[in-house]
Amino acid sequence: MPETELQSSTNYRAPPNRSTIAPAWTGRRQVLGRLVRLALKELRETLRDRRTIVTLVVMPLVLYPILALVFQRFLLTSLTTQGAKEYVIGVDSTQSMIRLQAQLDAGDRILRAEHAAGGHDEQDETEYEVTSGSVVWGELPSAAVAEKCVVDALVHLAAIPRRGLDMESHADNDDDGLDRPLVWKLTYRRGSPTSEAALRYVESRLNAYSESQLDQQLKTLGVAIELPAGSERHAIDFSGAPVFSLAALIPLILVLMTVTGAVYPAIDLTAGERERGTLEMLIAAPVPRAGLLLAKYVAVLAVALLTAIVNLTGMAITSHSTGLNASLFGGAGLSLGVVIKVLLLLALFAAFFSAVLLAITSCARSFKEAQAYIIPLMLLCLVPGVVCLMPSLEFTGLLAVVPLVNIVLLARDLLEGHVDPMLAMAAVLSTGFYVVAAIGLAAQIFGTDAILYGSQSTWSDIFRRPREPQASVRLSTTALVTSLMFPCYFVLSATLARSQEIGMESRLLVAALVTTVVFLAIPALVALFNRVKLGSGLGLVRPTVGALISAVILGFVLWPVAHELFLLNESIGIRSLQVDQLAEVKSLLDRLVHIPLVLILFALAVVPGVCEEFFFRGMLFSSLRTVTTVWRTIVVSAVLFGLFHVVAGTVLTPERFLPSAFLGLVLGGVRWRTKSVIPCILLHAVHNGFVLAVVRWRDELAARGFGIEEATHLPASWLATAVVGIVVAVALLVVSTRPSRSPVS
Amino acid sequence: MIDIHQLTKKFDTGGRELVAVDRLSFSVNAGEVYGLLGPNGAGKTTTIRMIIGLLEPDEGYAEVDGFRTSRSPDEVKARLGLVSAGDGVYPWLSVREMLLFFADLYGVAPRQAKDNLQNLSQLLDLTELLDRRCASLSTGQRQRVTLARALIHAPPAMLLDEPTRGMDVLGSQVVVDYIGRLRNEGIAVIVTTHRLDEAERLCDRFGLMHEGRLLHEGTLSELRSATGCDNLVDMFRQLLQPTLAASS
Repeated sequence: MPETELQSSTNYRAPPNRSTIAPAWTGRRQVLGRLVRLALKELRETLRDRRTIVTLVVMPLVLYPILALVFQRFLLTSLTTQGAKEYVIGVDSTQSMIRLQAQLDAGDRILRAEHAAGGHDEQDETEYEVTSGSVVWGELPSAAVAEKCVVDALVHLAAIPRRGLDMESHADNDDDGLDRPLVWKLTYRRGSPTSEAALRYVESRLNAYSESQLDQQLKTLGVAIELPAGSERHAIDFSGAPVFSLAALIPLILVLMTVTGAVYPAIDLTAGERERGTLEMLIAAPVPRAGLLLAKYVAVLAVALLTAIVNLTGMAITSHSTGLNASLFGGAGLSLGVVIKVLLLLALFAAFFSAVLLAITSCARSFKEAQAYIIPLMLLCLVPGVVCLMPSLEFTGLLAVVPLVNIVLLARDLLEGHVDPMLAMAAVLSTGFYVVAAIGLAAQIFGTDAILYGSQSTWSDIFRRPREPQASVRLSTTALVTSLMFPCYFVLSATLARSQEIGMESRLLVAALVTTVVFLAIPALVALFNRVKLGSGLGLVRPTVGALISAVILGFVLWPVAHELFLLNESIGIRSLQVDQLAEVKSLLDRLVHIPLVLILFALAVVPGVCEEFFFRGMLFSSLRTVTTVWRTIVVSAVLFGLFHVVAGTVLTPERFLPSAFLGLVLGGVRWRTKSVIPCILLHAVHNGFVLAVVRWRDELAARGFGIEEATHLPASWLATAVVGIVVAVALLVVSTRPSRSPVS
Repeated sequence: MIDIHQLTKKFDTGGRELVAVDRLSFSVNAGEVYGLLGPNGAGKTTTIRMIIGLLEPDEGYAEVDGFRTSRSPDEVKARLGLVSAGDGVYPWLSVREMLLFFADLYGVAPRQAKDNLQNLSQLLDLTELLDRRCASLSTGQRQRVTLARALIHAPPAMLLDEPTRGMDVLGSQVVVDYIGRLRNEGIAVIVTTHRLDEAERLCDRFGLMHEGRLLHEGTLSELRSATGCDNLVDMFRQLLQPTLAASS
């Protein structure tokens, strides 16, 4: 049928009237399903693209065998090119050294003669060249420490005679070996190229010498006898790091490969959409931009994860099949457990990098522009990989929150078999926050008119201050701020904790300053910039008197429940503080006794109460409330509140999560009922103040029969009193915040 | 169905403020085809983008079916179908997958989406193309797919921004014919085009824009009496005369 003709049809459905238009993306049950379908469409489109397949499958298939060949060649040439390589051979005595040297010299002469005569095949020649070198002798304190000396890399090889040498009968008389055969126990380190080369050096010469002697004996006697200078191998499996760890290169390779997998889909699904002319169609649909972005994020993440899995599998298979396993990963090789751990870490990295890539490519208006942005980022990725190669670099608290560096260092430690769980948690947590930050940033940029119609708008439009007052800070902005606050808080807290020279009073004041900057000043600046209304955006609403009284009561009665939750941690195995750290905490508490109570209450009760509530129940609560239900808002704000409280100076204390999150839930409930952050401030400050007062006067309380041991459960009567208090406070809260009596903003 | 009230948009072009759309007001009823005409840079596309909420107006507002774009953007988007000259397709998806994907985006139930797809395929002659990858479509075929994509959720109003740009005569005839059909279906249509001959045949009313302002509005006969010109081409010449004189 020609294109100009239209088929006439009488069954075309007339456009629906206003009431039948589907309110797209408004039903909460449908949102998730549509999000999944949206992500699947993005993924389907990406995976059908040949370029993705090339990056995903073909690259690893080609890369790892080539890398394996390079590594093997590297190991080989590092020995062959060093013709004068010195092997440090440890012996238990001077006699052993004399004896072994004589046998090695004899063997070397034979090998050299064979080599010069040309009566050897190619393999022999290679063996001779590879094992050529010189020997440096080291005398071991005793035969018993031979293994330790090899493990500690003091010697490349230890050579101990199976029987002690009787110098009277053996000294300077090689031929005595005919009567008393000598067997050397050669201890070397499996997986160490140099140690294995030293083994081959010694073995090849002893074998040559033995064979030569055997030939002579057979000619002379005509009977078979034992070898005069036999040897047997004794390999040690070493679990620690190899002397030169190629494992340090592995995280870099995996990171780069994962990045490579994620780059193309990230560009294609953002800048590519814009270039194809499909982005405008998407933005014109009744779908929240954040929903579109999230679907794209899931698709990019899925491809990045697939790439990571394919690469890791390729690497594992190649290293096993080429025998490089031990050389690359030490004695134990690349075990399944390590593979799974590295994969989890790569998943974290993929989550981080996919979000960063989307944030960057969302800024681009074309494929080329996106590539121009990505290339510097890829180069930047090399930095942590190279940094990671520095053997002296330790994975410390500060590095645990540096993006990318933390993941690479964690991967390195994981491959080398020693990971600090606290640092690992800090790295995972901070990376999680960075993911949220990057997605928040991408949500600010993705699909804006500056990107859609770049010629008509400028970049400043994206971060332009709104002209009209806003009901609340946008969630993407709050997510960005929250994510940047975490590393700031971590670094500032850790710096303060390490500053031992500061006195206790000053320390308290600085802690108050840190809390003020992080939880009050930064959010307040953001709120001010966005012209956020004090009432709806920050919860600064006058509460009822009943709500205030209820908050004070809750402040006094919540701590027993929080205390029990703290104890619950131990029963479920969460305990991070070591004995020395507990002692330090106790010492700090003892020193509090000498500090004026007003200062303590100001720094640890009033300031946290005001500042933390301003952010968590003020700005964050209002932002979350614009996109989700009350209950989800309360839970998410409480979880974040709990996570921030896990940071305690230089250490992370997961045992603080449960009690803090519990308080966060109650504070969220109070914020919801009262619509005001002021009762939350009161509750928080009273709670902290009361706990501090109890700690300060714990000795006096104990003297009056109210002793509270930190590690024991509270008496049932105390808990019952607390429960009654909570019930009364909640009842008062409900009554005082009935809709008919709700406060006026 | 569509009400535009004092719609204004300004752009900052290197320190100089450009008023792309200047206090624009007009209405389009259901079953009416409104031709928004004007030379390049008149502000037609910017107006359409503001109506659907892709650009935020500096002043004024647009309402679709009683919903204001600034207050209920999703309600407005759900009631509009947009076809732009620069619309693309997803090269790796089949036509069917792409159309059903957009139906899902607009919240159309799967069964309803399949019915709509079948009807549109017959009307726009897409049946043979449904299982072909979009990458393999010709320009005319793509344009028909784009039209089907904008109609898959059966919107009560359509915005067509240069829907025939880049198409040959035969291809653009399909689109023009279909716009006539939309009017018969009771859909309110705003169309911008350079094809003034087609616009004369197709549109019930016209708005002549120049430098962001609506200079004349009405039916063809009203415009004739207002401008003293017989056809749209002459009206355009008259419209552009001051600009041409200034530049020469």
